[in-house]
Amino acid sequence: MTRDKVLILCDDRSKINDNLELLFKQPLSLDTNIVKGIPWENKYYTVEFDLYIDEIDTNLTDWIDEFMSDECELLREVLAGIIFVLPLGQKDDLEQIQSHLKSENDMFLICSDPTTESEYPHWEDFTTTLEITTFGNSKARNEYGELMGIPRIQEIIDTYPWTNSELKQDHLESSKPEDTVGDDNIQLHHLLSTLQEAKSKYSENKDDSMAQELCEEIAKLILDS
Amino acid sequence: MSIRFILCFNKQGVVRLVRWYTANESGRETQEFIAQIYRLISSRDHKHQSNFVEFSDVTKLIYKRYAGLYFVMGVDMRDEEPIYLSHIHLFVEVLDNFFGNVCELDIVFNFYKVYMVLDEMFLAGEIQEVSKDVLVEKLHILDKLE
Repeated sequence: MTRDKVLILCDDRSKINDNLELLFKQPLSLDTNIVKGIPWENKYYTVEFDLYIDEIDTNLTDWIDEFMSDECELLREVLAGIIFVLPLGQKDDLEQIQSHLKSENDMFLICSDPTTESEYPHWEDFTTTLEITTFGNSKARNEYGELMGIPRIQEIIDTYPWTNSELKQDHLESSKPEDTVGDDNIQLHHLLSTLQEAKSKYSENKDDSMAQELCEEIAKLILDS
Repeated sequence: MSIRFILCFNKQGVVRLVRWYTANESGRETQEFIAQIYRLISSRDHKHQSNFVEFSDVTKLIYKRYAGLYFVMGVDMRDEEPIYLSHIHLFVEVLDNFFGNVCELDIVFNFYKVYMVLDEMFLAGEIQEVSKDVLVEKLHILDKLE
């Protein structure tokens, strides 16, 4: 099945809605939990996916148990990724997410903390399985030069192997040849056809004046190019 | 032969570039081989451990992380590590100059150009050009030929 849905899980939608709109470059009404056909574009391709926004009303463990149940199998098969927008100051939540959702290899898992602008030290322990970042839009970079916050989330979405993406034509087309190259081809073709014609005419009627005229024409062609 | 292989993968272990200059020394499957390298490097403490680690009896790894990507060279045990670290840095600088603020997406969608850059810099496991200006000029000429 095509994975063309993205799930956002948060604890308070009203606090993060502005940043969600920045992330997806779309107005998002607080009343709407499902947004279909969100366009996503970068310099290489365009893609559309649906956005599901869920507010967690139990604890994270219960939500994960429900998500991993058989009833949600179909949902798991169509999700391209999950973005958790939750406070991540405690290691426990990250351990929960890692231990239960790590097996979903075809999905990206992003954990973003809207309550901080800098990384917690314990986030390093999970970087091989989860993408953990902040949820601001400051364009700051960490010690490795990696973007943080919303720009980093956009990068992760960009590099996901969408199966329903359409490559942009600008990227597919090779660079256009210079105009002069095209002109040279035409002139060369004309030159060769003139020589061929002259060869056949001269063999029938050996006329020096005609040969002289032809030489001048060919010289003019070469000099003009 | 100095460089045995050059790899680039992201933090989740998805391989973005791979170039082999020698046969797989252990006979292991390529994917398993790369997975082992990824596990070794990703488990290291980047704040307190160096960028050099022994991988096998004949190979050591020199690696550096740039943003979300690891660039790894497998080199001969007898070779000096810092020079390969500088080669990695030069490669990344050339990519950055060639693509203009290169990111992982550029590498994914222009992988053939990245291999072109790699092949201009390294040939048969040896570095063949160390001047960034010369490399950038050559690459722009090659790019125009497309």
